[in-house]
Amino acid sequence: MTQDREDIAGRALDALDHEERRRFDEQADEATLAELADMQETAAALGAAVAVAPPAELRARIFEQVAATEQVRPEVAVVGGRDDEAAAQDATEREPAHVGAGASTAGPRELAAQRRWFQRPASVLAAAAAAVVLLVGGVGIGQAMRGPDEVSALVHASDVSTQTASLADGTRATLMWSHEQGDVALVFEGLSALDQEQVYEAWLMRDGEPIAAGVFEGGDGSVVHVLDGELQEGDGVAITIEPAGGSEQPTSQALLVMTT
Amino acid sequence: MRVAAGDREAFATVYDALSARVFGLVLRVLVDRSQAEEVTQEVFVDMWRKAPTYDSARGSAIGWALALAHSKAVDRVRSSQSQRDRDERIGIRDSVAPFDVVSEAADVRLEGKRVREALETLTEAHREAIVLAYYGGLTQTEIAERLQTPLGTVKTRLRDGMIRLRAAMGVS
Repeated sequence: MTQDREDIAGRALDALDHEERRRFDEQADEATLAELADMQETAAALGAAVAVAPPAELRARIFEQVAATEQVRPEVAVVGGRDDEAAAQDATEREPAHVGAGASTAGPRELAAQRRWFQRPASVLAAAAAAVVLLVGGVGIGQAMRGPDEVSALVHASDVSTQTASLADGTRATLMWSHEQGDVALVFEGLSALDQEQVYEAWLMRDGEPIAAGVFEGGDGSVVHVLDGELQEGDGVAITIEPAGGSEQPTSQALLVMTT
Repeated sequence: MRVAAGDREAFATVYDALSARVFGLVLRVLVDRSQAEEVTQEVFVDMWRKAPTYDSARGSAIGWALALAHSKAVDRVRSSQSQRDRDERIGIRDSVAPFDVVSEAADVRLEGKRVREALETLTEAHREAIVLAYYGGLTQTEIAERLQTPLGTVKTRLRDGMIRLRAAMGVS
């Protein structure tokens, strides 16, 4: 038996020390990981066997934290729609902006508002994702949730830039990108759901040519799509509606075109 | 990708479904209630953060949550207490009833009963190694020292014990 396989039980029971664990995680192959997952289920049964109801105050404390996080749901969506007075009032309530130089074409007030959201979007998005994943527990959602990590990386990139625009129906879209990370993400606040035969598809527009950058669905709340492919200088981003599964070339009029 | 709204309610459901199991496990490892509450809070906050890394192909959501809870509890115990403290603590804990399941949920109680019965089918050596590792938070090296048994033997006991436990519980 190889070193890592004889440590599977130890790994499942958290009985490896720091160094052993690091080595195990480095060396583990697919078969080992599959067996580990199996053993972790057994370990979880041991865990579930000693259930004790936590004090009610704990629930309250945890929910307080959750509530605080939810106050920073994406706000970019409404910034552009506000009149100056409201925006000014908001700006005074918020901390000054420190988004990187050249971050956006928006004015200081908008930047201030954007920063408020960008400070903690990952936690907001991941929070929602966690709930969905845990409740559904199904295939697909968990795997599809690679967004928040990349969004988080984007937010923390030193050269993060943002731009907002509206779809024809008034839906606000925020484009967020970093050349350093080579990543670009689209964030919508409440994107109309399409019928089952259709999906939204994102495109990187390079030298006037569209490059397919992944499909996504509409939905209530925040809809985030991290575009496939690596962002290059001068790329634009477009969104179209395509048949389910997506297309290699756009087959409909762009709903939105933005420049980075 | 889609991130649903109304997440506070969804989180409440998740919390209510898992909190007794998470808290019970953390408490079992840490013994100290106030530390167990702190770690439980960390676990649920972390579950938000780490949800993107949860892969349903690798196991159930409950398994994932309890693995996270256990690893945090063990981290806490290893960082905050010396070997001697921990031995003392385990000594105290072992003199108390080993399974004090206090939960209103019938399915949780049944689950506990099933696991206890499965544990009882193991040999003493297998059960001891698993209990020291999982509930005691000891490393396999520490178990070897404590039982004055070669490390390789401890590894084998953990592995065989877990395989038999799984068979006894009928975990597929």
